[in-house]
Amino acid sequence: MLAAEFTKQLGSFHLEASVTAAPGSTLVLVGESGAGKTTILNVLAGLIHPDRGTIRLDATTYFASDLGVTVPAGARSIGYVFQDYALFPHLSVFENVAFGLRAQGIRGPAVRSRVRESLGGLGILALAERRPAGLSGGQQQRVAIARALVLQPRLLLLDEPLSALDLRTRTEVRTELRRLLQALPCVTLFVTHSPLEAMVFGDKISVVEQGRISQVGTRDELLQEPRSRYVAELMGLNLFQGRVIARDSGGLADVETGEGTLRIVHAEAAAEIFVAVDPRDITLHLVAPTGTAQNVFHGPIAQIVPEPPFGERVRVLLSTRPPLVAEVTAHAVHSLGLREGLPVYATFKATATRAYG
Amino acid sequence: MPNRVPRRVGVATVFAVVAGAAFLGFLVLPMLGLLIRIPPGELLARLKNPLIVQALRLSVVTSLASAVAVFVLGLPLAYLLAMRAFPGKRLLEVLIDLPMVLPPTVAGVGLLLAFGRAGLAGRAAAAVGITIPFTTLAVVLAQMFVAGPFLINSARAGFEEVDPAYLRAAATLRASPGYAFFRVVLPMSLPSLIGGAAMTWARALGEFGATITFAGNLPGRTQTMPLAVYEALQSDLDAAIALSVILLVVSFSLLLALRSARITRPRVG
Repeated sequence: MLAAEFTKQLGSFHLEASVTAAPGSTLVLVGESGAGKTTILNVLAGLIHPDRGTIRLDATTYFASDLGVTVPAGARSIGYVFQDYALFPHLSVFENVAFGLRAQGIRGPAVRSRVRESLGGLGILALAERRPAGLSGGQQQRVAIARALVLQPRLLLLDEPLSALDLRTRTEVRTELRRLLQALPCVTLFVTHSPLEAMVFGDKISVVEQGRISQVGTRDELLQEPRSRYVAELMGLNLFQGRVIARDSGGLADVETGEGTLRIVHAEAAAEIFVAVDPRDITLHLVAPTGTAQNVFHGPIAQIVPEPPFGERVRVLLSTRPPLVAEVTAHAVHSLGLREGLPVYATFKATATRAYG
Repeated sequence: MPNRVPRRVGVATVFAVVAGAAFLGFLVLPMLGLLIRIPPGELLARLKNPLIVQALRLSVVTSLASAVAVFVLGLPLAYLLAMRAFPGKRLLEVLIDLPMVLPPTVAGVGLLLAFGRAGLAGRAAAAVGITIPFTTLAVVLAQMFVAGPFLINSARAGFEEVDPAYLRAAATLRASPGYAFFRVVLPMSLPSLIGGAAMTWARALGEFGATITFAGNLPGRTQTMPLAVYEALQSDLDAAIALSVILLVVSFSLLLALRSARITRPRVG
């Protein structure tokens, strides 16, 4: 069990993080670059020390500012797979993996058998005598993981482990890495900027925004109830924060967002609420619609963004009040002649909104 | 018709070619002068002269000793300068570079005042029965003093080129700082260290001013090759030339070897 809570001031950057994860599970830290994800890993690894807080792994305290405890990096049961892997270029794959064992004074046949076991576990025994420079990105990644796992750490840290790979191999390596991580008995922390990777790898996902953890939850929890615009964007949802200003007897309520008013199905009692709208529930019209939709907004198209991988789904960003994102088919974009700058009507039903406090 | 730049040879080009050729000739002529004076066969015969053999042996022994001593004692300093920021670092850098620009005779006087009988360290050494000035040890100390900066600067440049990511990796793999130094930093900066050591050795081999001031010119004890050249000039010009040719060939071979091995050229200054 990893339980850490700490603050760290780095120049003008303030980091305040709380991280908890259970053995055998993977916690993903997702956020933009510069949000503080790698710093969190470095603090846990003991490469930098927090200003205050505590870091505990199982029964061991690695850091406690109030007790004056600071365990150096080399004495922590932690394996770290760096973003660019940081394999020692002058050592063979075997010696890279043996490094941590030899550093602890382990000698002789024990080194050999443990390195071979670790390499074998990742299916790269055949690469033992090669130098890192001659390996593919995927192979280097495995060497880095083997090097970290040979010490049987209780906490494994992975910093953007897929970002050094080209797009073609990434999908394949992702599947294998997921299988590998799921079989590990240790706590795994996985840093990424990719929402897709967060959803693939995370038993739980922590969203890091500007040095803070803005939301923690399972993939479904984040999809259902995002609590910041950034999380909503990660999950591809429209998110509004606002105040209920009127309720009618028919079960509808008006929510003032500061950028326009939404009609939603009666929320709970809370006055300050979040409202999420799935972009797939938003319909676009060229002329003013007359229909049952309770929410009708008018405004120009700001941007049209084809969704990967094949662009058959298209996200249309609208300069309405409030701003909206609609997801439509490429076919609809063509048949309606949608283009940037074109004024359109966007509608969605009150029942398509999801309100939560 | 597109405008064409006329192929005109400008004054600047002419000056550059003439100046370059003149300077190159200025550099090469003295070396050529040394080489054509004595035929190679006779040169080898000269090598049997006991004065030359003695000086040669002393030079090899002292310069190797000072290079090794500087290597062992200088690396920690180079590592400190490469890895840490601390108050007074700028001052320390100037102090380390100083012997490279200081007239060697001044260095010799300084060494004499420090390690001479009445000097600060000299008195302490005398108390345990060690006399330094005008001994072979003084030759080594003089060489260490003037040649040390070459190793320290080159090693420091090598250490600075080692990506800190490797040190972080080593730390997370439970390596002590010492283990990380010998297993990661040292091998990764080896080309710079070898280059620096070679330059240090070459500088020590050519040391003259500090040696003659601090260690004197005693054949067999303190008379190294450069000193022997100086003395031979007064009595036996051919011997002086033979000694000079040997020094020239050694220095040339060393630099050529360093270049061909594509070893990082030591940063000077």
